[in-house]
Amino acid sequence: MPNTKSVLLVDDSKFARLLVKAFISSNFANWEIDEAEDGAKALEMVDAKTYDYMLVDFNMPGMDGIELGEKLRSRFPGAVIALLTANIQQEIQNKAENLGLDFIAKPPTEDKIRDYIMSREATR
Amino acid sequence: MIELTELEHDTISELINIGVGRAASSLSEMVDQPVELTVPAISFVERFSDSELANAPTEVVSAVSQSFHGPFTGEAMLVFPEVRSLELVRSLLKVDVPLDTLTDLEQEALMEVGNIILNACLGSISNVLGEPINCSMPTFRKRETRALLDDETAGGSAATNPVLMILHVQFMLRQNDIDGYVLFVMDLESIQMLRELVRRFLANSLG
Repeated sequence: MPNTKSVLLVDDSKFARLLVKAFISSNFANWEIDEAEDGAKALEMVDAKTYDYMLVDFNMPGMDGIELGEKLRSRFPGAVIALLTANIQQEIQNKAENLGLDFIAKPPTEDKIRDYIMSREATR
Repeated sequence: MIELTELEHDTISELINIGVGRAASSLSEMVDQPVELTVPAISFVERFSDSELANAPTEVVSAVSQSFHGPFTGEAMLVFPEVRSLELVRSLLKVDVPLDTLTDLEQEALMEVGNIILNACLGSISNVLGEPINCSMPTFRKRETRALLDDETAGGSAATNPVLMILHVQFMLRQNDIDGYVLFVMDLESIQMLRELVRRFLANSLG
């Protein structure tokens, strides 16, 4: 995967960010991966930089992932945005779909994250 | 105390089974090994110390807890012996990190595991019953078993409705000799609402 892409991980769990970052780095070596621990920080970061991928947790202090996803989607209609969450309730999945967000159920695994990005890369 | 018909009892057990089964599958994905589960046991007690779970009252446990709110409210907990928690974190990490970092990450890692496991349980139950359930942020506590529920959020209204329904499922990771359990604690009002939802679910399912 020669092209460098940029990814923003938004998750209040440092552990979750560490895992997902490691999974992406080991498969897409040159990609830039930034982290935000909550929605407010993520919104600051997207003011300064445009991301190809945004992976957003649902259950975070302050703004939840659906609220953040809605703001990100309205600002970046063409970006790939996925809700990466342990909350597998159908209602949350429906809300994500209605906002044009992909849904990835936690736990993140290397195969799951790699396959998701590969499939998205194939359609871009 | 609380009378459940055999069918209601079976249905609640099955709901928990589905939820914990999904949780076990999540845990198994995280640690790359099979996770064994016991059959869910439901018991009603007035105090946590009356439950069989308090048989080793001075054992120190690590617990990740999330309160849930919806048609019924309560607290869900993932509990395991404190002495094995670093081993569990080591199994979860697929990347090499130094021991110092591992220790630093312990609480973060266990909270994320708890978040995934408890949401898998509650999310599956919500999906079966068709009722949204909101979960709070996870909290972490490390303490003796006898003090596990000594918290204002744990079984919060137990003072006014002194009945706790304890749904207990044990999970085991044999390769790492780790075991723990998932605990749901609800008060009388919530138990009655859960029973009502189960009755409706049965009525719809059985036509």
